[in-house]
Amino acid sequence: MNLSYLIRRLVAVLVVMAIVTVAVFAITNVLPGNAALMILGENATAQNLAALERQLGLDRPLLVQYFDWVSGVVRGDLGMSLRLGLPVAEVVGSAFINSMWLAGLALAAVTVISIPLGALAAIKRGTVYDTGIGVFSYVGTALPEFVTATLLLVLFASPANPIFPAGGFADPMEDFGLFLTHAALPVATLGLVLMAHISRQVRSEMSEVLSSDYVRAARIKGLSERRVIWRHTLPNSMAPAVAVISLDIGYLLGGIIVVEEIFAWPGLGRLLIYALQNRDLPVIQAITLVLAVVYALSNLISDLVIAKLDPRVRYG
Amino acid sequence: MNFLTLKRRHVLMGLAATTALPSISFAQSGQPVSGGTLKISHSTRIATLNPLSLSGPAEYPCIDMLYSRLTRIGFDSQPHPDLAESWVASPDATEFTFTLRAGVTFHDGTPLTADDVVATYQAILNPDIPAAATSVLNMIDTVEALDELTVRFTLSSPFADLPFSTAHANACILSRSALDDLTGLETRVNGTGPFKLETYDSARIVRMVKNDNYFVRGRPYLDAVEMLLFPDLAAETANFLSGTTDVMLTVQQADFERIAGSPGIGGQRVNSGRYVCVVMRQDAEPWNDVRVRKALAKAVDRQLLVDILLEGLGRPAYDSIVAPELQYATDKPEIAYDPEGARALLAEAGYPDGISVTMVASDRPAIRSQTAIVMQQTAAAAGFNLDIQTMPHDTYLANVWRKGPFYIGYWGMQPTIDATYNLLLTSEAAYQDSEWKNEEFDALIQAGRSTTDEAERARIYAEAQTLELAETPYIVPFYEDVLTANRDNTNSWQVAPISRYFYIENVWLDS
Repeated sequence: MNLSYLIRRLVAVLVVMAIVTVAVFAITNVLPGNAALMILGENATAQNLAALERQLGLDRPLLVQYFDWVSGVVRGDLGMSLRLGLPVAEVVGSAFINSMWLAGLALAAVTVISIPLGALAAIKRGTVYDTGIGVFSYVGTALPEFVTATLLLVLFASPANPIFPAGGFADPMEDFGLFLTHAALPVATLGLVLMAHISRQVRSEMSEVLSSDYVRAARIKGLSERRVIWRHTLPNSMAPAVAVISLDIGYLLGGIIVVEEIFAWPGLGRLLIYALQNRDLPVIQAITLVLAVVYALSNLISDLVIAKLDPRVRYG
Repeated sequence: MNFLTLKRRHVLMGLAATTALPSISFAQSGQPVSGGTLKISHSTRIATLNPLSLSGPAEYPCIDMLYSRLTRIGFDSQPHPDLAESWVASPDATEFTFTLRAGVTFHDGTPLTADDVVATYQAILNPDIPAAATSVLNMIDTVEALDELTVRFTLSSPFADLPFSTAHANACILSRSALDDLTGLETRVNGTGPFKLETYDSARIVRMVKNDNYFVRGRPYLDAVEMLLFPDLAAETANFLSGTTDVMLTVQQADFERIAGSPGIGGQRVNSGRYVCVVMRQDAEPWNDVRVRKALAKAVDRQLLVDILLEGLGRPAYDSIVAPELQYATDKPEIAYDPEGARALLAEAGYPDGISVTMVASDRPAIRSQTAIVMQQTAAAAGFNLDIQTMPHDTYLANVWRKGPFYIGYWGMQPTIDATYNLLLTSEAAYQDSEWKNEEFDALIQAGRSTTDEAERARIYAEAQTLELAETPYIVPFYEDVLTANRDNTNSWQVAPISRYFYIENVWLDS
């Protein structure tokens, strides 16, 4: 890997961003209605509608609107939210931080739990552990988030059994403990599906490595089982898991949309749904940009990590 | 003589209300105590606090706490003094003079003057500013400040109901300086209401704190009110039942019995004029034939709709958009479910084999598509083959509303019969979507505006309602009750039938 490779990848990210903005702008404008109509709803008299369109600048030609927005972004100005009357940077910025808490915690929990789980299943292949973990994984993958979320709500946040708050949010900077209780159920919902994914991946990769020649050689050499697993098997099984995790970040970004809506988590997903329903184009654009960047960068980082884990992988 | 009646009625009401209102509000036992934070849960976002244009169900209680209007509708559905201490109308109902309370200040400490009222009404009437109250105030020709505390409205046409219109939820009095920054109104508040804005986070919470200088002495009781957003109904209910929140702003019909029956919780149902209507565009076949409309009216089983969709929490309606609560409303004859009669009418209109039509229902609120589905079943027996097309609300607003030939509408209650008819049924109605245009009807509504004689108005509006029933411009199957719930520790929580006025300054919590 070298610098020019990195630069090429970063340029590619920029190109992706440009394509995404054009696509989102075009698609949003194909949707019926505009922000002015959505704001006024059934209060939309022709006069009010015309006045609001003028006020929001929606009466200008589409190309003018688009290039106006692009030139703002280049200058670092994401514009004003049409619906909320606040700067987009402020609205999307705080939602982004909240979502990253959720996604970050989910990813951390999943990594810590599912990699050992997958490894255990591979080592104890064919035993009751393996079957148990397998069943758990399949159930996790099979249940969509909106089902898992509702089940968790009923089990752990019902009025009869209020272990966790049923949705809502607390500022982690003010009261981290309270924040964690609010985060527990959404993180668990996101985590269940990913856990299944990653532990299955680690298990199959690890089983393969465990039956490979070099592991047999290591065992014959008389190395302890612990050393065989931790030093020789696990690192070699990790590269595919990292690739899966980076793909799962894409899934995670989709998952937060559902989970945030159910648990009233003030993050990007909920903001995106809201902005779409209200045709709040500057907010939609900003969120899709942020999501595209996160996705592209996480791919880049996982490629770099894989190269680090597996010396055979070279980029140039 | 006639105008005297009006004047006396309104002035008397003006004087009486300051003393009468508290006694209305404290039906519950116990001496009110000050302090505490009231937590209200709601499920729709508070996207803006701009009182000129907002229309969200959870936004209305906010501006009712933060701002005041010249007049305010009470739980008796009549206008009462708010910022205006009293008012008088000219004999022909074309000139109204409002006297403001002395010593009222905005939250920033500046005094309220007649000039602020003038500036507010000029903004509402300005065609370049989107304002929801315009349609009930557009008869105002000029607004002028006679002195610091007196405002005179001169109308271009007589309008006896002006004190109802000045109570319009979106006619909040703003300061002249606040109007210089219209975008600022979305997120900043400088009102004269009982509460001041402390936190505005559209995604989560709006927190308001007590205004110590509120013009009603001794109010509000509460130190603060928090409006908490729960987009998911299950989560909202769980929080309310477990005691995290004190009030659930709106309860769905399906949940009402369970929630109201939970220990420590009281449910409230308020009869209201909120209704679902079937819009039949009458400038084309088949709906241009009144017999077809009447046939469909007979094909609707109203009691069934009330029983299964509203779980009994509503009342059957008989094709009038005028709710029984409104002044001058007449009794409407029952329209029985009569599929054979409907079939006969259809045949008479030239459809012996029935009619196949597509009916559009938006998915928000769910009652629209539910009504459509039940109607599909009951109307089939009468020869109506309804093909139901449900669609997302945003698509509906853009493509079908006020354009489509046959769809389900949904409207909140208006404060007067005049406002109700001018919303939908007169030729110049703000949201005219049926193309039912009737000169005789228009003339009646105009006449009703122009006289202040109660008996004469009663006669005119009775005639207008008879005309509405004869023509069936809309099918109105039921009126929905407004449903809300509060914990037993919360006293004097009430919602007015039009769900725009809440009087939260009278609410208090057990200590």
